[in-house]
Amino acid sequence: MSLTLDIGATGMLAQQLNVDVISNNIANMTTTGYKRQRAEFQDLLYQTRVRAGANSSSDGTTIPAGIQMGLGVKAGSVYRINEQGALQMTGNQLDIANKGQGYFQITLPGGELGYSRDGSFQLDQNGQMVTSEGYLLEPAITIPNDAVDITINDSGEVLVKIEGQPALQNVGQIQLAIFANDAGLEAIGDNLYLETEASGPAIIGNPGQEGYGGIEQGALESANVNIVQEITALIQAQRAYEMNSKVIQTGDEMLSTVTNLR
Amino acid sequence: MENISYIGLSQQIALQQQMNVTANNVANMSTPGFKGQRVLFVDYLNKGKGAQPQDTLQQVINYASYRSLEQGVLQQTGNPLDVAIEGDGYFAVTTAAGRRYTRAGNFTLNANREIVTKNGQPVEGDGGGHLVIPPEATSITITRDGTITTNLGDVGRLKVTNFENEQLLVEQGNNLLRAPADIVERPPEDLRVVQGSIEGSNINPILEMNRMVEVLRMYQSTHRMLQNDHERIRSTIQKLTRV
Repeated sequence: MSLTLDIGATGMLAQQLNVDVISNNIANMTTTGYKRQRAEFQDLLYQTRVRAGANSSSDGTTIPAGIQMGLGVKAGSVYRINEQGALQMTGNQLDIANKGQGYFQITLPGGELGYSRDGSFQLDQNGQMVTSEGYLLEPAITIPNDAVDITINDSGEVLVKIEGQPALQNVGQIQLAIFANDAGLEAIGDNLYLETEASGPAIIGNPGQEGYGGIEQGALESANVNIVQEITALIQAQRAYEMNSKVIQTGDEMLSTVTNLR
Repeated sequence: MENISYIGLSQQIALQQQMNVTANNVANMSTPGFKGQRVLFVDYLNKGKGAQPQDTLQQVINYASYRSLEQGVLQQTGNPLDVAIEGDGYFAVTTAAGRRYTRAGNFTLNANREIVTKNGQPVEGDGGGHLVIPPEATSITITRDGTITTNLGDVGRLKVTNFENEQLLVEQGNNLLRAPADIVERPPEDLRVVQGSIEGSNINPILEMNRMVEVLRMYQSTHRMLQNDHERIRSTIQKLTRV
């Protein structure tokens, strides 16, 4: 009997996780380069009470369908949907957006490489391109002090106009990393991801190459959260949560009937 | 003498099992590809001591649980590796314990760029091999008949199988079903694979809630019947012993 209570509890836990994931999506609605997540569920193991195909008589007749009792639900995975986010024009020369596959490479404080879709770069005191946390873009690009204009083209070349020089000067090349399995990257916050065994090693290339996205200067990639979808999912999750609580309530009422049996 | 109690007891056990099944259905309301279970009760004839037909007791037993094979609602996700089957059929998946079947088409890629389930089990292609998306591919298209194409050419076709009697498939958990050895495979008629969607569970919450209330009320009325019988026996004993 307490099976009903346990099953109802697994249902409530699952929906709780669902609401957690949805609220994180909504909270990050305006985070640059954020990719929305989705909780996915799986049924738990089954108890076999009567096996299908067992003999039901000595004449060799068999039971067509046995009795299989499910034991509830569990969270299978929280999956990141790496759909392209809409580009938001900012006009800032150092804001760059990736229009396709690939991640910017960022040198983390420990020397390790992190990967990001957030292209809102700034300059540090040495004129190097850094993220808003001050982490260096890899390969490092230094903008000369006397540069008056910065152009970053579709294939990621950084060109600067220096006062008094007629030609643009190439000061570096932005490179992108792609992965066999983007969904396997580990999110560590600050819009950064780490390579894992599931993602496969980073494959480095220039923007605009086959398989790599192009660069758009003066734009940022907004989050790919669709607010209508999220609110609908939130309503569904809340109702599912309530229904599971009703299951527990019913199980409880049945149990109390039993205790009143005498 | 205790016949009524035994009949009532058999019904209460059956109702408890039905409640468990309903609870599992509700818990799996948002599990992709989940098919709701139903319970089948039959009467079990218990021949009493006498040979007279009126001595025969009819008790309830839970005879079988079966899956409702109704189509679940397709939910649009926009993810290229989410596929749903509209109509009959199951995707084939290779697991450590052998081939398993599933209706949950929320696939992803692993580090070898094979199409796998969320538990990392490779999805089988039509020829039996696994489906590998080349690393340079930037777009994946899955057509109505399950053929997977990237911008670099064809990759293969999803294996979709149907069975003569789908009820024989046994639930394994993790959205997987196991086929017994004697099951007869057949190709699905009018296959429709839909890309960018997953099939939700086919649970109808209103029906499940209704069923739950019904189970509870039946349980309570059986309880009342048992209590009345208890009173009856007690008063009988009291009256008979008042000599």
